[in-house]
Amino acid sequence: MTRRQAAWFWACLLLLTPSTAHAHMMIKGMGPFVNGLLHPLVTIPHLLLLLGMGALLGQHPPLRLKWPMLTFAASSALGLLLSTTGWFPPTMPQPLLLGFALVFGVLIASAYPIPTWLQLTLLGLTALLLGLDSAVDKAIPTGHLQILFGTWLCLNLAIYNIAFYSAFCDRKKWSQIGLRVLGSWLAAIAVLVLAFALKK
Amino acid sequence: MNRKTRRIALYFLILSISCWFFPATAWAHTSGGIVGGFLSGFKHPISGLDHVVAMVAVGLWGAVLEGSAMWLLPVIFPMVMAFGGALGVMGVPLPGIEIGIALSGIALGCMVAFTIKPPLWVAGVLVGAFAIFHGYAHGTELPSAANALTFSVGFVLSTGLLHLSGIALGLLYRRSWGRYVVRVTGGVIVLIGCGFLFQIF
Repeated sequence: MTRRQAAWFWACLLLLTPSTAHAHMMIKGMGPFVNGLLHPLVTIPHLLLLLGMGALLGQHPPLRLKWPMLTFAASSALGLLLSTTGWFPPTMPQPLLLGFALVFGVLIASAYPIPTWLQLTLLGLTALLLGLDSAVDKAIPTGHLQILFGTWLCLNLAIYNIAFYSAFCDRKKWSQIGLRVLGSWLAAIAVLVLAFALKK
Repeated sequence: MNRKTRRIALYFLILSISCWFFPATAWAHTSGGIVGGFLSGFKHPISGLDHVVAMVAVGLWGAVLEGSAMWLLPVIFPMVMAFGGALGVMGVPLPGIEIGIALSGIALGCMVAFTIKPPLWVAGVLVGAFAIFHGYAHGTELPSAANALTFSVGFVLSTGLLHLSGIALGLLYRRSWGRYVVRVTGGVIVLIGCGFLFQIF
């Protein structure tokens, strides 16, 4: 990793400073676009899904992002637009989101290469869910479109960056191992959360 | 061990240990169940010495076994442990948990102390079996009021860092003097496990 890349990485990490992690709350002092932009980064289930999807895309070289890019962009846009219709609840059930995270975690940990059609299907469904789960709070009077656009931009930028940098893991054995360990952690988190949900 | 490997091992060791202090400062200014859940989950695996020694022993043993075991064991353990945790959360009855946990320290410590190198699948099954006990114990102790997601993130992160600490320490095995350090550490883990088994601690 070059110094510039490392600087961007640490700058992005600072965005994860934990002031609040409520999915639809506006962060005071920031405009609607920036709020939308930060939303996926401060929503833990979204972050886990993005990590899982991105790592899965980048784990098996060569990195091919054309169809995944198009699928994700279209599905996330569709999900965000559908979230404004009122046909779906404002938030998706967390077990559903974490169920997908479990699938991604297991696939990454096992390093099992899945067919492209399955990869695109999972990507599309997850993007749709992320979009549906990012409904703007009706209490916010203005700027809905900016919030949604910011969210869409962040989702797409995040997954493509994660996939891009995950692809570098192929170069060194240690980084391949680290990616698989990350997958196991993701799966473990998902199992625990699902257990909590089932208990309730 | 060459300079590069030594540097990597030292880096992991410092990172693992320093991460246990990091959340206290990074999350200091926030409030509510989300932060409390993460901190609570992060502290849970390190709240009991019996858990700590077993997690470290997994990493140590993986490093002693070398090859695929170095990463396979720390990949298997969290996933199976989470499954055990799920059983505990849902209240599925499982007997002999504390004995199983104490035995895990003794067994894994012996593996490290005597540098026992079974086939990979045997090591995986053994680690997996003990992981269920540890996960179950954590699952039954989980606070019901904690934010489930952040608790799980903190919990898994802490467990993983303990494994990393064990691996980093285990990398010393490649040096002639390091073998003694690693094996003595395994012996200490066995003694601690015996202490818990006979309820000395």
